[in-house]
Amino acid sequence: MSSPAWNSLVPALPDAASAERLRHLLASAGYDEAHLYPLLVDPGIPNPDTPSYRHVFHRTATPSALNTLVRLFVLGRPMPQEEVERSLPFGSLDLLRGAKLVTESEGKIHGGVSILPYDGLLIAFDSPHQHHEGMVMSVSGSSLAVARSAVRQPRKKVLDVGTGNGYLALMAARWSEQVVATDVSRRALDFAIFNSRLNGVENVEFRAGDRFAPVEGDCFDQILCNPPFAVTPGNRFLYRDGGAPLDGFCRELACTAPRYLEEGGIFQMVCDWVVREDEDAENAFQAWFQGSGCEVFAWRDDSRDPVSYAEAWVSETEGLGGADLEATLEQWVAFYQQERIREIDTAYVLMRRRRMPPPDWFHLDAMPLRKSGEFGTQLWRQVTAREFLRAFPSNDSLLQAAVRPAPELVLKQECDWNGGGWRVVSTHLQLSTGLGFDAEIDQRVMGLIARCDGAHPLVDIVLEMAKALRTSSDSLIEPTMRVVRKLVEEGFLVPEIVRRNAVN
Amino acid sequence: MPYPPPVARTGALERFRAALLQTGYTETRVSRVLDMTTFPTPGSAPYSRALFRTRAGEPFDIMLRLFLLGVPQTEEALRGAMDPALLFDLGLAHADAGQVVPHFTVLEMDGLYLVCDPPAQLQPVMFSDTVNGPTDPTAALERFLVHRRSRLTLDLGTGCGYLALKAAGWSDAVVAADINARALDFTVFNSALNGVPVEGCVGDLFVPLQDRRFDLILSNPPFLITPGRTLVYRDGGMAGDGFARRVVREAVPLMAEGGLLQMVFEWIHPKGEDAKTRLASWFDGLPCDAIVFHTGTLDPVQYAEERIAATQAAEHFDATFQQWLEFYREQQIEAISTGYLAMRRRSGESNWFRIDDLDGGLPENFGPAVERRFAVADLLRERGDDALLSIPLRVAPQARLLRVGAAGAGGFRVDRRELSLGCRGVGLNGSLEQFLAMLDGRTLVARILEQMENGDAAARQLRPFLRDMVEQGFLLMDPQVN
Repeated sequence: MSSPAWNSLVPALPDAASAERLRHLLASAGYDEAHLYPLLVDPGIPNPDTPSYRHVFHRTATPSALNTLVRLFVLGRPMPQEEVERSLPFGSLDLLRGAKLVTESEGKIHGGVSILPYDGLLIAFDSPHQHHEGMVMSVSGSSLAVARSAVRQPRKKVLDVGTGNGYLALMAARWSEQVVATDVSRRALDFAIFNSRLNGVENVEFRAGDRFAPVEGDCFDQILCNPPFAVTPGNRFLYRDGGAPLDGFCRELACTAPRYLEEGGIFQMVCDWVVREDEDAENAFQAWFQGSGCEVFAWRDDSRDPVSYAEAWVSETEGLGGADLEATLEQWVAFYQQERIREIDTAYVLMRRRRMPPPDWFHLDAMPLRKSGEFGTQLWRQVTAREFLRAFPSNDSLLQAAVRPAPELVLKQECDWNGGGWRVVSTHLQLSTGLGFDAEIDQRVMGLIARCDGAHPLVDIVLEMAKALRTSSDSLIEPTMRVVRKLVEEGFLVPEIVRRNAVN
Repeated sequence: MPYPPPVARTGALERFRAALLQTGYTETRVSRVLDMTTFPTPGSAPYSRALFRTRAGEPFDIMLRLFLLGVPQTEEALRGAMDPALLFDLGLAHADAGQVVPHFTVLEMDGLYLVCDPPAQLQPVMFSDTVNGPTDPTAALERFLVHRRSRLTLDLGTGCGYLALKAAGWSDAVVAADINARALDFTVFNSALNGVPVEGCVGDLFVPLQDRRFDLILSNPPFLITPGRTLVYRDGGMAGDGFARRVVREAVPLMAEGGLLQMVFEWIHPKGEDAKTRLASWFDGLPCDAIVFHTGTLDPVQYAEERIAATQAAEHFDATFQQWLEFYREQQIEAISTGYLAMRRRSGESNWFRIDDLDGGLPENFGPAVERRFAVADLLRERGDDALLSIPLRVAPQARLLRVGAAGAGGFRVDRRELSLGCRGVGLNGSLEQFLAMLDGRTLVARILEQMENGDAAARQLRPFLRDMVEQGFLLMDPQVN
């Protein structure tokens, strides 16, 4: 059986009508997250050598439109033409042929590409089983992470650098009037264009070229990038290695991106940085952004020693084709040793272009392990919180401000039974969606939060608390303001209208 | 041919054990190298990673490569960990051109060293008398066992003997039985290796044990619902779930009064029959109370996927899968359930049977929960339906009340209340929370209800919950009531 050469297929949709029909075919078959993910055992395209692949194969044994589509575009399994025609609505096969999604040989139909749903979008990419150096990848975990961390506010113009299959650009098209997406790979752009048409997205413009080359002279409100951020000894995969040594690719992005930002505009990416034996992780990272003309927010998501870093990347990306992984691992670890690398850290980065960056322009915080749904809103809240706190530097000024609990703030109280009633053991603040921030608080802080209604300035609240505690308000101001600053910084409390003249 | 079982030669055995101890060959340390639940196939990324992680060649690394990854080691390398002659003496390995070739897997589990056949991933062909190491059902059955002193315990279908050795911890004597003579050779070896005395017994089911009476019979029988009889440890060889039923019926005469049978098993849902009624009929006429904790039900496709993947090497998957599905179609089996049986011999009248659903599987340390079910049933039988209102109760010391809510109007507005104990939780409302706060372990429940506003309403609401809360261990009865 001759299988098609890896790069023989680039899907294409000639016109809006065929895009509409293809979209309808996939939708009416139930080719979406709700139906596909329960079927797939593990998310993603299963490797043919694994039990997951066989499980999906057996689960799709009954002829149906969905099962046929899954066998073609998830499993990449050749199917008899007759079977394809019988299970899909009349004319579907011609539609798939016209979109160059399938090839034919010896009376069998081969799915030429993989298609998976993500966040309500259908994304086509190269079948991962072939693992060719220039292949168009699926939507990676890091790409999903950038999308989830993206600040989703109405924008005029967003740029997606190195768009690959186009996923991030298509996401951004939901909150931006216009999106420009670039990629150095022509093949990737063809996939991205196909995907925009398949999803009926019309406000994305695709430009071929390396990184910012195709947008020279343009400025954007927001730039998103899922860069090839892995720190590896070689330069085997474009999507992984980027071509610059160590973390050079992302470091250069941090230097270049601000030039394409409007004042106040933001650049967001996920990246790794190396920390050498004699370096401090935070200083090493801050050095990237020196003189960038931006206020920089970074949230460290991970910190790994070279051995576990190598293990993770090698198992994930070098495991196909019977490669000797043990030898590859040894080679990677030797490389890190030679480069005197102590650890490799991962962070979400948000750079905000400012004409006058504040003196404390670099903030590195810990990213909570637990994250659910999008959390760009919460990251942005932390950015504006810094601005708010800078505007009220003294306790006296902050006392005039009003704050209220974040809408997703949850209080959790744990009690034990002490033989004759419930006794509070601990009280925690948490956010119910997005970032899994968690802070243990005492009864007094709980009382404070409960009084912060966004209507009364903090000074009223301190007076009220002092009265309830039968203590002087002066003694409460310092500790209370310290707590308020912390809670605002972490996004548990959000600033409200300011009433400067409320109290004398 | 599988390798002949190991031989427990004294002297060599003690030195082997000392070497295992000295190299720190423990579950915890092994799990840092092999951080996954199923054994990886050679050549896979996790397998290569394990080789990479043991590249230092320390005695521990050598042992792990030899005994878990199945990789032959040079006599030279092994000498740092132990004298290779020990392994030859014990039949655990043989020499081949300067290499020590391992025959078996050696692992440490919860303080016990165990020798067993290598996992399916290391053996392209499984022999019918393969002796498995502890599997997931073994671990679950262990969590299920009631650790009440037993004068005589039987482990039926003991395999490599793990549960028999564990049960020795609360039993005066333990008999380990298996139809597979090779399995008993391993059990005897493991018993000697760990210095835990266990009496071995070869034979089919209870046949050789007719004159013994047991306080505890535990069994991890070959319970899978499969068409054939290719693997002794897997295929019971009776149509459908007949084997498990046979264990239940034939165990009874060997159970001492008050004694327990505890086993893991599976039962079928035949087309046109109510599976629960059918299961209940297994216990008809037996002088026993029985409770089945039902942990899950799979349709034939899911069932075959999971069980085949768990019990044999990957390459024959497709053929086996087709064969199994064909069998389910022929037998008109629509689904298969998994559960844990606790059956107590209680001669007399009004024996009961019940099925409890345990979504999410068997929790840790479930034995006390099993005992509570029987205690509550006994109490209600003796004192009537309101028995739990006429005793004092207290809240379990490990139970935690979780209040979840939002800040508002100057205080904490509680939206949701939950009482949790370990990984289990039960929702409460405000009046139940108040009721629990008033318990003191001395006052009768009925008295407390009288003191409550709307006590009558609370009592009505409470009755169905109370039994559940006591059975699940959220509420404790005075020990004297038990």
